[in-house]
Amino acid sequence: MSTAFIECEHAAKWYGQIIAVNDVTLSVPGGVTGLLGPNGAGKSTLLKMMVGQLRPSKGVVKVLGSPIWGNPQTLRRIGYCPEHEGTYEDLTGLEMVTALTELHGFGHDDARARAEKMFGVVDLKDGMHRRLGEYSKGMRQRAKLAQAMAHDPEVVFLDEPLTGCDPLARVRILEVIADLAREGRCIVVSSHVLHEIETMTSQILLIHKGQLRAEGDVHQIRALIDAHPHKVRVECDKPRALAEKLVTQEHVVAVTVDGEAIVVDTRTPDRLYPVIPEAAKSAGVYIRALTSPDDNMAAVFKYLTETSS
Amino acid sequence: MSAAKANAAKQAKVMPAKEGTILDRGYAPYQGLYTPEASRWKVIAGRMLRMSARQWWAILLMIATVIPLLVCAVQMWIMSKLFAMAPPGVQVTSPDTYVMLPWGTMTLAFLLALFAGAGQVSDDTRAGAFQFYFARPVTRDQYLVGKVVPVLVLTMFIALVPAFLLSLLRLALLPSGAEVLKKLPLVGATLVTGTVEALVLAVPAVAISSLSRKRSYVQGGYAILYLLPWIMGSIFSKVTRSPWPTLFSVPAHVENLARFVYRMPLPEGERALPVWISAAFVALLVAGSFALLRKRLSAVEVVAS
Repeated sequence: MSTAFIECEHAAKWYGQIIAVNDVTLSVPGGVTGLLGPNGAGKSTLLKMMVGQLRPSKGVVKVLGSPIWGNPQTLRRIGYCPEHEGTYEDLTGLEMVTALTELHGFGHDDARARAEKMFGVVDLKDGMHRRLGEYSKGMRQRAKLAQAMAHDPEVVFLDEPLTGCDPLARVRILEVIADLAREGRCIVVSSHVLHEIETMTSQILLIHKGQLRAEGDVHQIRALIDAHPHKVRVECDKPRALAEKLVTQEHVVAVTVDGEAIVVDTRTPDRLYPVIPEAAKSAGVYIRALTSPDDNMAAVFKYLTETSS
Repeated sequence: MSAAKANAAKQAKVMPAKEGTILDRGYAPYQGLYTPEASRWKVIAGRMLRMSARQWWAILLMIATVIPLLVCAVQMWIMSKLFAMAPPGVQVTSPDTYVMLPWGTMTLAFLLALFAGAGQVSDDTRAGAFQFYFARPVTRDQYLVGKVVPVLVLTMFIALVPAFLLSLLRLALLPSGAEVLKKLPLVGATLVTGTVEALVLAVPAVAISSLSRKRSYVQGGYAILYLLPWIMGSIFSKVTRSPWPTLFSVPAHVENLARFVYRMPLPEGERALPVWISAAFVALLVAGSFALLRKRLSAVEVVAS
């Protein structure tokens, strides 16, 4: 039996001659998964197919083992926090979340209790009786998060959940997402702000021009990108001396001196790391810091989206 | 993409999930009972009804409804006295007349349908509220019913309640129990006429609201569709002395049906379309509006707002 919470099998979506999502096959395990892509990459379309709001033009999108389109039984088990507002300004936050929870099949009193509890979880209990029209952007985000979770879903989809949030709200939302993942649920977070995703997970789906460009752990994906040498930055007291030692190594592609540091380009970082201390020792260099500036989400994103442009 | 990169992406895809990210797995899916799926529309309708009922226009129109009710009640009381005292052979307006479509209420019901109905779907389309509804176990049909019912209920409050109360007053003003029994069908007639009037006003208003994102366009379109055939039809009908110019006039058909239900004869010199035409028009209008709504909503895909 598959352990994937979400599966796309050759899923595609087109509008006339415009292909928004092109033949995407993927699976999403439990925990937090970041859905990355530049603006217009197709991530919102893919996300909307995953939450059953768009019917795939081709292929199938399954959530919890069943096709999601037109499937109320599965829709009951998912939560969705959309990017756009779409709320009734005249309702209070509590009224909105209660009504939306009722639509999941809970009685009014149960739905209200769940909504109140969820406002507590997102730190918005003080504002839950205020009209939505009076909410700040950050409060709206938290109210939307509350409506996505009040019915206790197994899979939660969050579209740009941190947009417009102040630092305190950001911290709270990140904590909530981490808690959901820790409990064993599946959370898909769509964002084009890479550092937001990086604070939540290293598990990504990268979409570009409607196609799935990468899927999996960001560091492992980076390791597989061989067209771009890995960069290793070494901060030390005698950078030129260390550069002289390292440049002779056959797996080193280039060495750049950058102030009190050197940046070493290599195709095999695993072979480079043991060599650096030896070279430093023989050159009498004191190493202060060792970092890998392109072994991160931004670099992977840049490499995989730039190459196809 | 180079072959190496394609290979890289392929390998990444089959990589297992990073281990150790899920720590406690304390989550257990909800195993309790759910409310029946068919009742989802009630949640939407209830919320919409409460929201609409606290708008200024709804309060104003409902208060305004008291005026025709009082005017007709006083007229009915006076006429019932005159009717009882009138010697045989003297023509006095029947007090029953005031029960049928109380003066001005149809205009008020039209305005209520205009305000309440116009925003039902268009506001959701504009604000992107479908993404909240349809990410839940709510079908398009449940949504549709949930949107029509509140407008219908509010419109019935004006189209039905005054006539119903007047029919009760009419019964109360009758001198004997035998006459009360004789006039009892009047109450049923108010219910039928009020329901037909509310349906014919409310459902098209909601249907038109599915055609545009802008509430003002919907209101304009609805007002034109209702008022233009009514005004033009009335004018041409007077000029030509024929009922056919009123073929597309909603008030003319409602009045025609009401006369039939109340068994009220036409005033002397006036002509009306055959009742079956009015019945067919009303049925087509309501069914067509439902069909339009269903068509607009059944294929709703929630694209980015």
